[in-house]
Amino acid sequence: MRKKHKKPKVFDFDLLIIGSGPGGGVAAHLAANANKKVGLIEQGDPGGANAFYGTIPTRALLDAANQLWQLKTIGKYGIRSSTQSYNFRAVQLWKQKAMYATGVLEESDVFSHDKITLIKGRAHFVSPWTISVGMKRYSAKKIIIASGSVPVIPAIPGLNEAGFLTVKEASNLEKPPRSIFIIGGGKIAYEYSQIFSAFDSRVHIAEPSGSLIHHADEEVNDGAVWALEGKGIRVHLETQIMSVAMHGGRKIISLVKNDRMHRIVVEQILIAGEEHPALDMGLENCGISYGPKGIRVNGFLQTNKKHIYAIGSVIGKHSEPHAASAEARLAIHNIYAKKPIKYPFDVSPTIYYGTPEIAVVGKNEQTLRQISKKYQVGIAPIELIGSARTNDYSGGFVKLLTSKEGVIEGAAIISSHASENISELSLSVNSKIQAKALTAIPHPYSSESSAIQIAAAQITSAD
Amino acid sequence: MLHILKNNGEIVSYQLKRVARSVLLSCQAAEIESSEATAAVKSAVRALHEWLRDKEEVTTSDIRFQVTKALKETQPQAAVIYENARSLE
Repeated sequence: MRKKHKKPKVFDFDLLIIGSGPGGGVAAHLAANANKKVGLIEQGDPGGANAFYGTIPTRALLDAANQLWQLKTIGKYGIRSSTQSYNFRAVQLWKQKAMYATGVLEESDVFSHDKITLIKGRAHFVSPWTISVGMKRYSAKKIIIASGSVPVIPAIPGLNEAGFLTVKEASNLEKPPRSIFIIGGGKIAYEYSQIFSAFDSRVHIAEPSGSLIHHADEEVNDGAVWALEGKGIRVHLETQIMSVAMHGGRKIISLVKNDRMHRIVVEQILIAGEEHPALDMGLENCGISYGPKGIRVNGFLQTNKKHIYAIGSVIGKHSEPHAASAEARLAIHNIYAKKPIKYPFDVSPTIYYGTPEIAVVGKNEQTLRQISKKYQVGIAPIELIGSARTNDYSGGFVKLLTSKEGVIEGAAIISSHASENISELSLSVNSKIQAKALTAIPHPYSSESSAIQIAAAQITSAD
Repeated sequence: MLHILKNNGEIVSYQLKRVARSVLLSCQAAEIESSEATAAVKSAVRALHEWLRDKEEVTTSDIRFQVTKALKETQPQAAVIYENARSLE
């Protein structure tokens, strides 16, 4: 029996936002710049999880790791280097410098706008218009939920007792572990395995499914595994972790792979894998519809309560900060503009940083088969491109999927600069551009993007 | 101290005994045997306390929702009675 709440006549804020990450933070600034009085609720550090152990800090560590990898193979350029050592504390300082440049380390600066009130504490809805934070209640005409997601700790016997890291701790280690076992595939596993491997950790990854890269075609997964194994990272797919035990200060992981039991001894365990939307905020008190995958929204990012919107990983469609920021812009538009715009969920790319980078957007072959849609495939290996000769990287590819009529439906890129080149294909998916249009546009010679033109040409030549 | 916000806007403190008694009455109304009812009460209260661990202010509806959710795991019939009862006293 749900209480019927009365809408207040007077509100504390025009807009309340739960979460100050890449979604909530952007929404707060946009609304404040539009002269709205904004209350921004943040339980942790302002800027959210992404600012402190997400994209920027991870990329800073990855870039440092990449420099070290380059140094190890720099002899092929005819350059001699007598030093391949590192100071990990200095690497962490480099990371702090990168974070400092974003402003997140200066709490007073991050959301210093006279229209934004930063409210520190955990948000809990007590009615559809009122949120309690630390026993104080705040009301708003409109609300945006941008609370993000939280790691899922698998129920493995002995794991809690043995102890483990999440990405929060892993990004702040004072020194790299001698050995680390990463439980779960996906983005964190792909990125952090490369960081630790560069700094001489012995790295294992175990994923229960057959894919390290989730929701991607087989070639993408194979390319990712090949890239990691080339760095000495051991990837165990279709592997079940049975238990964890401690012995002599080390963690012993018992696992089953190919129907055989194995034991691996490591110094540290990192939980990668799934994240769940952060939903524990009294959603029942405002009657918002949600499920295990997240808060349900329509194409306009509105929940079933018309004055409440939800963006970012809490809606369960993705976990990318750039998508959260794009959704923030659209949500603010939809709240305050006369004509709302639908968000194109399909066109947000998923990026895996590292060497190589992996970028996927739109539909993959499995999705197209599931909807019984006939499709065409164009694949251009990076080794065809001039830059593969000059920088000695030739392991990746560009893969395009189009409809029978040649309209771009999805794409995947594995290359050194996949994240820089995927936006052209996101635009193509969103705007229903045909492969022949990509063939017609000159792409810079010897750049990785010219592989897009080559892959598109494969499709148009088959027409 | 945990605040419980009642439907009428009043703020009260959390009363474990009241919650436990409501659960027990629901189990009795569902004709559940005494030892099973006691176990159901313990389990529901434990789950509720785990959920309340990081909360400062919640509503009576929250308490009802979380207890119902926990009761559904062990005594689904009692959960229905608990969820729908206005007052079990």
